[in-house]
Amino acid sequence: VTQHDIEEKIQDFLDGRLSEAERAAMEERIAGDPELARRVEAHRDIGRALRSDPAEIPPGFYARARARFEESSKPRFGWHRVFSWEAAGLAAAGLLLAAILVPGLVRDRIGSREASRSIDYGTVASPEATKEIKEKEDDETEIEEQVRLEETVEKAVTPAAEEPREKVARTPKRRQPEKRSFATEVAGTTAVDPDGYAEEEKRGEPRADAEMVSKVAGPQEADLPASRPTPSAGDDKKEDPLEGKLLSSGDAMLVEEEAQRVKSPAPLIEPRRERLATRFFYDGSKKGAHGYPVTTVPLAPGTVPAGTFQVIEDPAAWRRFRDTTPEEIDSYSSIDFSRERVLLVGPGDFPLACDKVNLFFEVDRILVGFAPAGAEDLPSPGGCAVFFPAGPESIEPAIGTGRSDEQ
Amino acid sequence: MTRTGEQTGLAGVRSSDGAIRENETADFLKRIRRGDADAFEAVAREVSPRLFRLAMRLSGNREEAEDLVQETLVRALPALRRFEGRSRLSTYLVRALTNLWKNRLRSRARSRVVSWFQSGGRENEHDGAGIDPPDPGPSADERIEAEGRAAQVRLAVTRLHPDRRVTLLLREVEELSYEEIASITGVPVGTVRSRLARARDDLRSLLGGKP
Repeated sequence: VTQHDIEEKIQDFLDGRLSEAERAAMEERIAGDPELARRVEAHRDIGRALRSDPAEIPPGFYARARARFEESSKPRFGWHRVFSWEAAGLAAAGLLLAAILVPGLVRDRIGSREASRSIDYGTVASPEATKEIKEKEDDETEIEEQVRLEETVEKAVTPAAEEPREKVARTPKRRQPEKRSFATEVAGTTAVDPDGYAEEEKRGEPRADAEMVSKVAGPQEADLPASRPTPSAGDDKKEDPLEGKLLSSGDAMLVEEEAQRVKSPAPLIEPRRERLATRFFYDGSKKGAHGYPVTTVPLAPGTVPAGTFQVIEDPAAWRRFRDTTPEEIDSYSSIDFSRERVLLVGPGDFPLACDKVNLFFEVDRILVGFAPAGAEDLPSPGGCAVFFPAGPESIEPAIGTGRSDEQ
Repeated sequence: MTRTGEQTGLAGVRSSDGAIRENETADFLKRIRRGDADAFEAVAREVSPRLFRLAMRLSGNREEAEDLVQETLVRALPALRRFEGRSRLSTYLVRALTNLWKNRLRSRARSRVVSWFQSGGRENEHDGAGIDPPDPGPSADERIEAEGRAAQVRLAVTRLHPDRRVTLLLREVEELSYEEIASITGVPVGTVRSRLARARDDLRSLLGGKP
């Protein structure tokens, strides 16, 4: 039985969370163990001390509270003075009446319009007229079939290269986007511009499908930087298929995660990770108590890009920050970083261990706890950076024991 | 494990001495919503002793405790739309008070640290530029009082981490169950348990290892 187990047992005993049998066993044990009895009594003493002073209400408290209430319930605007429940009732009744009547009126109006339409069709379509329309439709079908037959015959006798041109000549001037194929168009097999896109480009109008075309066609050789090395099989750097840039192994992992995410439905946190992906090395295996990703990276002095992170370089400021322990009520620090992506720890003399970071997610903030450590334990004389997703939550660094309050 | 004999809050059992009866409370709350100061004072007299004691233990400062309780009453009572029993009202007010206290703590700390960053971290320990003065903490009278054992414990409690402090006080002073504390603080019961253990551990350290 460890010290921790004993403490837990004492706590459960004091808080009445033991079963009858466990409680009896504990009492028996306390009776036979003076040291244990002393510790239990010490805990009870704390409770008694906290309850001993009734903390009397100060004189005049209720008068002051009443005045404050009266002040807070004073009407602040003029309309409060003319407000009455009767007027409010009348207004509500009016609104209710309007809500009932107005949709009815609208429905009647629409209904009458639709009714008039059906009357038109019904009266015009006399038996003679219907017969005439049917004959006309049959004639049109016959003409279309004849044209189709002619086209088939022409295809058989005309050279293949001329086919599109002939087809364009017969095609009506209106656009037919469903006949276009991005792949064939990019590959240069479409020699004509049946949809008028080329004309639009000449006029400088952007093509809505340009991005899609480039994705389908893949990166063109001419677009790649000349100095770019060819990745080999043994190289852990990979190509980003979307941006054509070299990635670190961490980024490559993210690209793979991106591919996985496309295959499976994304959890809520994914968009944030995506935002991180293009900038930081990111270790997806390291997560905080609530699943928030955390990465600690040792930093050498001067390696932090200016303007990207909040940096505290002054050792005096760091000492002050370091001294803000939870033992002091006014030291409960809260920092709202403008970018809220990274927290830098120490310019070198900061005695906190960068690899012992606890992360808690509370209602409206992320709490980052650092474990204290000797300066010699720091992974880098430049301190370290703690990365986590950008987001609306504020970051609240608390320097304490480094132990989690969570189970 | 609930003490009711000496409690004077709404969860208590006072009805023969002019205090508000259970079935009258809903009516009083309605009147408060309409701005009735008499109703407000009557309810305030019922609930304030308990709230004040908690506020004193949280803040360690009489003036701040008074302000905290008054603000809780003025804001929370008119906002209560439905009365579901005195114990629920009591829980509601305790939750409102602890949230208000934590919000104050945060905004106070935030303004201090932001000004610290705005000064570029160049201020030194002595000039105080860009940094709010430290919290005055317990008054001189209370420091003298601290000679007593109970006062020492109370003083030590004000130095606990805020979450642990709230949890410990709700347990030891209010004698609430873990489930009730979890409901007030909005954390799982397991977290209540671990926070209590940490608080007691920290308290023992603060008191020199011999609580």
